Amino acid sequence: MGKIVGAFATSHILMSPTGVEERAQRVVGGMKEIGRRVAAARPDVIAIISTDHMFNINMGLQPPFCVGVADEYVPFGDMDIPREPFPGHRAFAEAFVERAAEHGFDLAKAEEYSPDHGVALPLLFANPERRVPVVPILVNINMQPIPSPKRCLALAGVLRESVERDLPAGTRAVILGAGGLSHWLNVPGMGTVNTAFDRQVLDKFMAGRSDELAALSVADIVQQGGNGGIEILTWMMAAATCPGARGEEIYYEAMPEWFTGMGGIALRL
Amino acid sequence: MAPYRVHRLIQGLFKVPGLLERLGKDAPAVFDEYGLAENERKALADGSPEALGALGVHPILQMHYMLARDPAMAAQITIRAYADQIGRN
Repeated sequence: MGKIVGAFATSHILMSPTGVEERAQRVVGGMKEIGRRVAAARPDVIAIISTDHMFNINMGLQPPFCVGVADEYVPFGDMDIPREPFPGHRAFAEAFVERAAEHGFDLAKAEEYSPDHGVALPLLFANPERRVPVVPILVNINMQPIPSPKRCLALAGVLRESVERDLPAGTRAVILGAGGLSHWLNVPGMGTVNTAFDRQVLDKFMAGRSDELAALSVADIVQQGGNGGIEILTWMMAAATCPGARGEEIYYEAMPEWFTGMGGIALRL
Repeated sequence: MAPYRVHRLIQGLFKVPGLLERLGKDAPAVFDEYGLAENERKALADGSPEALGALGVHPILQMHYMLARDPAMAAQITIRAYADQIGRN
C-alpha cells in the first residue's frame, strides 16, 4: 500500500523579472520552498497534474485527460527550460489508467510526450536532480467541453485509490497540481488579475474546503478567473487526493506584468 | 474558430523541421502550402492578437504564433533570469 506523503499546488510559469524584481523573487522563493518540502517528503514517485499548452495535445487530437506512461521524458524546451531527461514511472502510470478504467474513466495514454513548462517548470524545483520518477497527468483545458470540476475531482479520488492500492507497500507519493491562478490569455481582459477570485480560491484551500469549488461550473471559473484561470482544476485535483486537508499558503503575488496571479500552497496531511 | 488549416500551420511551427524558418523567409509560399484563404493570409501577415482573434485562432496558438514571430516576446517568457537559482532549493 502506497501513501501520499505530500500534496502541493503551484503556478507553472516564470517570466522576466525586469521591473518586478521583488515580486518575482518572492514567487521564485515560493517555488523553491515547495521544492524543499517535496524533498523533505522523500517521495518515491511524483504525480504531477497539469495542462499542456498545445505543444503535444493540440487541435489535431483532443483527449480530455491524458496520462504519460513513458519510462523517460524530455522537456519540450519552451521558456528555455533545459531539455534534460527525467524518469517516468510506467508501472504506476499504467496501474492508474487501469484503475481509472474500472471507475468509468477512459484515459488517453502517451508514450511520446515532451513536457512543456506546465509540467517541466514546477519539476525544476520539485525534482531538481531529476531522480524521482514522475507520472504526468494532463487535464485538457484547451478543448471544448473542458472537463468539469466534478469529473476532475472524481478522477483525483481514483488517483488516491491507485496510490493506496497499486503502489507497493511503503511507497511514498507526492501529488503536485500545477497551473493558475487568474489569467486571461489572448482574450479580452488580458493583463487582468482578479485578486478577489484568487483570494477566494486560496481561502477555500486554506480551510480544507476546496471541494466546494466543484459547485462552480467551468463557465463560472472562466468568467471569474479567465480562460487560463481554469487551470485551478489542477489544484482542486491535487487537494482532492487528500480530502479535508487544510492548505498553507506558500506564496501569492498578483503579477499583472506577467498577465497572471501567481500562487502556491502545501496541503497539511 | 479558425479553419483547421490555419491551426495546422501554427501547430507545425515548433514541430515541423524548417517550417518556422521558411515562414520567415517566404511566408506567401508557406501560406500556399497550407491552402490559406486571402483573409487568413492577411490575418497571419498582420500577426496581432486582434487579427488572430478575429480569425478565431485559439488563444494558445495565438501565443505560439506571436512567440514564433517576435523574438522580443520570447525573451520575456523565459526562465533564463532564474538559472542560477534553479536546482538550488
